[in-house]
Amino acid sequence: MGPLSGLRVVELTTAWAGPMAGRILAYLGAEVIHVESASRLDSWRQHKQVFSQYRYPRDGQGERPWNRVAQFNSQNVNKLSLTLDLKLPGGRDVMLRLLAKSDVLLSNFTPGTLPRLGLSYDDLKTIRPDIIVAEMPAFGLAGPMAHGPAIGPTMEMAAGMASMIGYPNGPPTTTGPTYPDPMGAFHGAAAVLTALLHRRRGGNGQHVEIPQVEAAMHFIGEHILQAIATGQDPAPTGNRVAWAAPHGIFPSAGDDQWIAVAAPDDAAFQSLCTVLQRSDLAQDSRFATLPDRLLHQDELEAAIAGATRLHDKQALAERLQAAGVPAAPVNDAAEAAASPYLADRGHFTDLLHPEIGVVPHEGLPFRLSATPGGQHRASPCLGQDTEMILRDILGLSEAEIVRLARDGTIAADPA
Amino acid sequence: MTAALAGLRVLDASDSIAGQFCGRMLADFGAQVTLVEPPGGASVRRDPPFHPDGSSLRFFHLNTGKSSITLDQRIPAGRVLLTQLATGADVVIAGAGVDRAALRAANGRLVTALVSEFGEDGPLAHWHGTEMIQQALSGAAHRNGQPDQPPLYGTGDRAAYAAGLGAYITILAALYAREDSDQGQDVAIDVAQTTSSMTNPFMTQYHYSGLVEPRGERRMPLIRVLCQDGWVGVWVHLHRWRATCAAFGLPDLADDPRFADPRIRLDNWPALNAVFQEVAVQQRADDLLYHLLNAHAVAARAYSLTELWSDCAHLAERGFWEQVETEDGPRPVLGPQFRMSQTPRQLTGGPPAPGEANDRCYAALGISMAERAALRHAGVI
Repeated sequence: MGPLSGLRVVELTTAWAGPMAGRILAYLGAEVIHVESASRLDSWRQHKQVFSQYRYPRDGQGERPWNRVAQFNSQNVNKLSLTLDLKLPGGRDVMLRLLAKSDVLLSNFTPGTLPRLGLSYDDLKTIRPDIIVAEMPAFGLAGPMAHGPAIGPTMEMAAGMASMIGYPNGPPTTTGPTYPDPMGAFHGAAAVLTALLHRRRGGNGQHVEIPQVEAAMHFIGEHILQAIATGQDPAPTGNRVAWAAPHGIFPSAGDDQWIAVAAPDDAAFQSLCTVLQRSDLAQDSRFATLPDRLLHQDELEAAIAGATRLHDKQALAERLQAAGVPAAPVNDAAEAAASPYLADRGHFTDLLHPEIGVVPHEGLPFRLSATPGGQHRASPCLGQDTEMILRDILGLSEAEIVRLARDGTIAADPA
Repeated sequence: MTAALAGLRVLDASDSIAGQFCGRMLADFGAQVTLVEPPGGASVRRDPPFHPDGSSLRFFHLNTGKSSITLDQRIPAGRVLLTQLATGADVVIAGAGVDRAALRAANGRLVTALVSEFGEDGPLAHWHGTEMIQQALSGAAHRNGQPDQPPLYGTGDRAAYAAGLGAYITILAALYAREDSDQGQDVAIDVAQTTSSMTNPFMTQYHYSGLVEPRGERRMPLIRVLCQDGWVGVWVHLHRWRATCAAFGLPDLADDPRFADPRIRLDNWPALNAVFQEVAVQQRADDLLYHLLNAHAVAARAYSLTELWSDCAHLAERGFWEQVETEDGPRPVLGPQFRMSQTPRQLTGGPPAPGEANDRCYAALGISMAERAALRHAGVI
């Protein structure tokens, strides 16, 4: 039994950050309903996108590619899918009836969308006084940039992070996995939980705004405060840092294989030299202390790279770690997925998807001894649960459901 | 207004970025959070980056709003004190090696949170993590940087921060469950598993397709241009292609054969970026940004950190920057991660001096002034 079992969350979300926030709540036991529009699909269903072979099962896209794409299916585990055209009167009516029976509305639409749909917090609290409405706009609900749409990489730029990342003298760089999206997801879930716990301990419902960029800035908060205090900006330095040398990603044996190695102090550097069998480096006066090594980083890194390239990245990382030196192989997705560590944590759950079959699903890192969360159902196909929700949760008659189907309100075929 | 977490008492004995960030969030939203430090002060107090006055800004950022007591967890007398303190707490945040069973035996309603790099068990329990190590291991670094250069790890300590935020989520979920069960529980979060959870779903892609995308920066439709006074980035959505060209003042570019077809546009991305760069160099960053935003293009300035503070009208207008009072006068702090209409974040003060709450907390346990002096003398507190 997840800690949030018995709670119902309705999501108006798309892409990654919003759906992942809902997925966290679903993992923790809430019933989460992903409300989708068939006329404008969740962008992570990848409808009308340039085809990517990496994102579909080996046997291809199938007749309904939007149900078979890894992006959507990774972020909507445990959820129900309800297709609803909110611009039609019947759609809004169904939505209001559903929200009257729900604890949370979670949205990552751009500011103003909920009020335009008649679903603002003020609208909703009249039908459900203790409802929690959480909105996750990238730049917040107000301010000169608030209307701007955003995506992980532009959020990474706006939060100041991209300016800190890059090769020396290179342009501001965003991370490939677009880190700010899951940051926004975690912040969204944290905000909802804060409001839920407050309500459970005797408080009321409320509106919560999660400006994803401002939230993300906390992850580099100390660096921002330093820039404010000194007037100086950190410059991109590749993988180098001021507190360790070497601190880099070095070639290892094989084609395009890499190992990350850090020596935060002199003892770690001595151990590194021992494992690499390079006592000459350990005794080299240019590398004697951290300040020395920081001063001679080019020579130091060339020497380390000359040694690491002789070794298998995994075996060398294990030996370095055993000697007290922070090190890790640079894993690709297949290597990461095969990690004995993740297996030990039960990170993957085999789930049966109706149009794909059994696939391992990536989990979440929250471990609770008494009320563990978990994954019990693969991501829903588009509109998979519409009829069940209308019938069993809202108590609509067959005739009413047929009417909604006939006028396209609950259509499940993408335009 | 009351705070969302008012009345909850937290002992933050973690001495890590992840644990202390979790504690900072609990304090921000109203819990009474006490940092439990070794007698010499938490190690984070000695971490860079530093304020010009020599104090750690990491410590400041992670511990604003907390109080502090000192005790040495390595010696039995210190552990006894921690157990006594835990009898009056709702949550203990701890690193690896703390006897959480003993704490819960003393207080069945306690939520204990183990926050660590690799956990206390499992194949990597003895590993040493840093941001770069976690990003390498998780598969994230593999997708950072150019394919003809070494992978990049990213910046800062974002993996640890994410784990701290994950710990906050986990603790609140356990407190929510406690409202029904009246029982605490042990929760745990690893930086390593958190980092894996926060990569793009490349592992799921692999499980689906059996394929691994090649190393290096993904082929993302991301334009980066340097204006007169700063960088601007644009994510060129398929359906915003024409709007983006128009916002750059180049409406005809949309039909240029090198770029018109989205399937070949990415192949010619450096050429496209160069065309946009020629326009951008003649413009101010804000002017280009608002042209783009008003055309509903996905765009942002790539702010430097000082620009965030001094040149971002958006943050200023939103009242993002706040101040806390400290012994050294007012200091700036970042605005809240989320804005709650009924229970907004509350800033109560700056970070604590080591042990500033010793007398109050230990007296509350019934430890006399003479006994406290003896504990201090013995190096326990």
